[in-house]
Amino acid sequence: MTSVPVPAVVRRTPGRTASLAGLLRRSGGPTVVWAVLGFLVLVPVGAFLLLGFMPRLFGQGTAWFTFSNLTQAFSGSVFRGLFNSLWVSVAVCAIDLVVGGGLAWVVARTNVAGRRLWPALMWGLLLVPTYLMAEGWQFLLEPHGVLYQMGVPSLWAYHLFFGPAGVVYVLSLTNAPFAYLAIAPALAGLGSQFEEAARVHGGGRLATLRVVVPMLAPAVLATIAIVFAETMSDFGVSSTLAFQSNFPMATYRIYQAIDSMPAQFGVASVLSWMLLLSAAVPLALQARVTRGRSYAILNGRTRSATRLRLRARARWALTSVIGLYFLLALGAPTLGAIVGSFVRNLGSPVAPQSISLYAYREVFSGSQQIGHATMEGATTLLSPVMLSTEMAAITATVTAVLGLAVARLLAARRPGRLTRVGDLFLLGSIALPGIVLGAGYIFAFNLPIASRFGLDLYETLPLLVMGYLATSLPTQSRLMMGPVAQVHGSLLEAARVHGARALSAWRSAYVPLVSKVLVFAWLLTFAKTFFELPISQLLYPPGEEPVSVAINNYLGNYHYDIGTAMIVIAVLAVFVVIGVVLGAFRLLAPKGWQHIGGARRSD
Amino acid sequence: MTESKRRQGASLDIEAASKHFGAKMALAGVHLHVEPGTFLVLLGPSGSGKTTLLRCLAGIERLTDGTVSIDGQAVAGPGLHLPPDRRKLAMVFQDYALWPHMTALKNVLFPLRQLKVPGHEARSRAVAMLERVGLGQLTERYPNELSGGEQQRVALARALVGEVGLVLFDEPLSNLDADMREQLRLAISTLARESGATSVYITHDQSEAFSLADKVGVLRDGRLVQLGTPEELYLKPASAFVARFTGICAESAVQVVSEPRPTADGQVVDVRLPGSGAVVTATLPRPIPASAGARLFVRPSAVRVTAPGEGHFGAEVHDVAFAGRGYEHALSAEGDILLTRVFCEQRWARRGNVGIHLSPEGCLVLPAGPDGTGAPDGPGLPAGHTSDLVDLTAVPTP
Repeated sequence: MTSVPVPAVVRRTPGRTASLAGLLRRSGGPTVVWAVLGFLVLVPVGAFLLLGFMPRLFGQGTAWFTFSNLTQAFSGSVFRGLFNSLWVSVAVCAIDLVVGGGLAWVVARTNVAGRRLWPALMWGLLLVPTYLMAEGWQFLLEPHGVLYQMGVPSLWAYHLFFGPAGVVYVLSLTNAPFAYLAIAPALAGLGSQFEEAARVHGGGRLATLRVVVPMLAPAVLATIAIVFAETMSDFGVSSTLAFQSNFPMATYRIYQAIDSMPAQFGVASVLSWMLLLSAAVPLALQARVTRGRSYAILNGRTRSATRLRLRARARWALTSVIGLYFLLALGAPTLGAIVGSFVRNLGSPVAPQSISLYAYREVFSGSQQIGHATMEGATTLLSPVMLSTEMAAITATVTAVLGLAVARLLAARRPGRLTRVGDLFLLGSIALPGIVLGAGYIFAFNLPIASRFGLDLYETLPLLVMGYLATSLPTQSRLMMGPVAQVHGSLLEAARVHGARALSAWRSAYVPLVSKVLVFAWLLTFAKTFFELPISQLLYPPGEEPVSVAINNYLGNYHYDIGTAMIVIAVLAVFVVIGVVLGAFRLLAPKGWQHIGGARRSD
Repeated sequence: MTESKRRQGASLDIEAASKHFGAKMALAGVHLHVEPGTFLVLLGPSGSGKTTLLRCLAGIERLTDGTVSIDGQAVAGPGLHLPPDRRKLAMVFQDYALWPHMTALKNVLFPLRQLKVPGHEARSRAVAMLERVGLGQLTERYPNELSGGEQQRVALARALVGEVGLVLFDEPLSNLDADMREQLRLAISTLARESGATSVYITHDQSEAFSLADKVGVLRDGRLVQLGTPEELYLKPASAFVARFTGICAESAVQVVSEPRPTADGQVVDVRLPGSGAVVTATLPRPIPASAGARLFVRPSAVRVTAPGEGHFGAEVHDVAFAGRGYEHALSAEGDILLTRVFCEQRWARRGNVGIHLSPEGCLVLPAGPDGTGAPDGPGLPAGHTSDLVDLTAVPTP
């Protein structure tokens, strides 16, 4: 056989394959991606956590190793905050397992009305920040609040609401979607064959239940882990309702420790340890219970379970109960906020002339100085809304792009050691409370070494965006990983084999397949960032308040009308952005892009 | 496509191609030369390296060592790896790999757009190709609105529409049911040949390989152990592995009792079966070294069932199964010889006795290995033995 000449120009061509993951790998992509994540999360939080026990390492004391911060954290009201957070989290877990799990079962297994509406409302509930829920209810129940003005006696509810019961109530409502979204897919995958097998082999209803319920163990454990961690790390309720009810909680104690003069970083660090460790307990429980056991219940032959056909009266009764639940969860706080925004001096006796558009005029014109110190730098009262829109859009865009790269790495068929370690790190980051992250940022970027490296980011908007990214990137990467893993590698290979260059193949054969995922990741990040509170509260630069901080400041200073008007405007702004983005996708994206995820024709 | 429009297929040269995945060796020095316009089928069991070889040809995987040239141009070699889009080839994937956001027409248009074919011409060529595969009415359907067979037809149209010199097929029929397989096999055979392109098709199904191929290459453990026409492989397998993989109904250690005798097609020899002591005449594809034992491999077509007492030896009917035009029997004979898939139009009763006649053409005597089960394969076809049956006695065994 004759040897084949190799053109010189070809020899210089670097090797490329169709796989983007391969491209990233060869260019050191994983290292860069994980280094970015490490810089965003690991360095600041790690330094902050070390500080609690090794203050001298950071020039914060004389001891190289000490338990003094721990002793302080376990004394008096600081410990009470941790204890309260713990028992509230346990209570919320129990309630949400029943409520979220129950709703998931009713939707999956009965003919209750509105089976498409309830899951959509659950997603809606997921987007409601806890502080908005707490404040919405507050306006309803206050003495001379909305219910009082409407002639509904509500003083008993007021006393009940402003205390532990109200805290548990609000957190149960806001965290119920996690329980629902964890259990519903498990129930959907649990076909009827397991129940049928139990029944045909002589099992009664109870025995069948005993056989089937353990199959849902992973979903139940996941619910416990997520709801517990979310409740423990919540800052929205602990800084509003719980604070006003004199019911200390751990996250607010961390905030107070940092906000005090001088800042008690050591105590905040130890409290953060406690928070992290307590969130790790249910995660460890979940890992221990599921280790070495297979709960695989999905296969190609899984048949949908038959629905329990309720009698008309039972069906409507059940539908009404679910409707009432969502009315309380979404309707009541919405009503509270909307009505509150039209009433001047809510909380005082209302005269007909009190009902006006005053608050909206103020927000849009910004002519009146509110007189609160933090308001002085604001150019208009609308500027927090504009700032948050901008910050959320930047965060969402960077998160969508970087999140896709991380998801591709995680979904690789042969992930490297670095990727596997990175995955564990991401899981840990998801459980990291925003308040701990914010505290870590304040501490780390205040250190002299940060300045020495030219990182003078403290009290700047870039640091705020970095904080937002650090919270959104781990969650979104993991969420995108599922859909990204479903895109078979051969689709990209097919494009390359049929003549498309790397970028062209990526653009024509890959981006369309993940376009919907990118859009929804963008929207979810946008909405979450827009209303984000703990990081905003800790990291906003003076005079540039994000909307969540501005709302809390107005309400905290009894400007209920302007605060609630801002809530209404902020929520509407998010709806407008969601509408515009979805509308643009619908109008501008090719038909085929929107076709992805359509029903498959059966042969 | 008219004869005048036929495009010349590309030649393909593979030299010492090796591929390692960590410690695992997927390809171990494959040599192969394919003439333009040939329909080559690479046949082998799971893990034999056929998919890896195909993906290396496509440029999806990078060779660890060796070179690949398409139509005289090196596309892979030391320090060289041309990306797939610069290799001027097309491929039909096992899982179809149709882009779900594109209609059937847009999927087929894709290669033409990469070739910068003007819009109107591209469209008419794509529509014509879809009509050729029987999907003229379904051009605007999305992949998820098509059945599995229809999807694979779109994939076939996409691979052929660009009129490239080399088309690769990655087990394209493996996800289809029996009826659909046969229809699509015919479409692939016809359309690929009409296009004039060189085709490389991989499968683990011997009947699929024989029905499609001009040439068949058998792969085992990353080595090409035989390359030849289907007839050569069937009648003159290079090793016990090739004989078994291309379909036998029985095998047994035997004793050679005569000198080889020449015939029109080669040589025959008489062998004695164990147990019954019956002597049958069998084809000798190549000489058996004096030091090696002999082993008989029987093709199903060589067996004729006769009345008890007739034929070369007797057997008992172990099992019988209806097979449409007749019956397939499993027969056990003395000397632990089990004959399976023995076809006969007549149904012989279970546990009954029959006679067995073996024709020399379908009986192959090959050297036995150290354990008596057939000689191991050699180290693969060396360069220069790419298209003919290899005499393994000329190749040092490991």
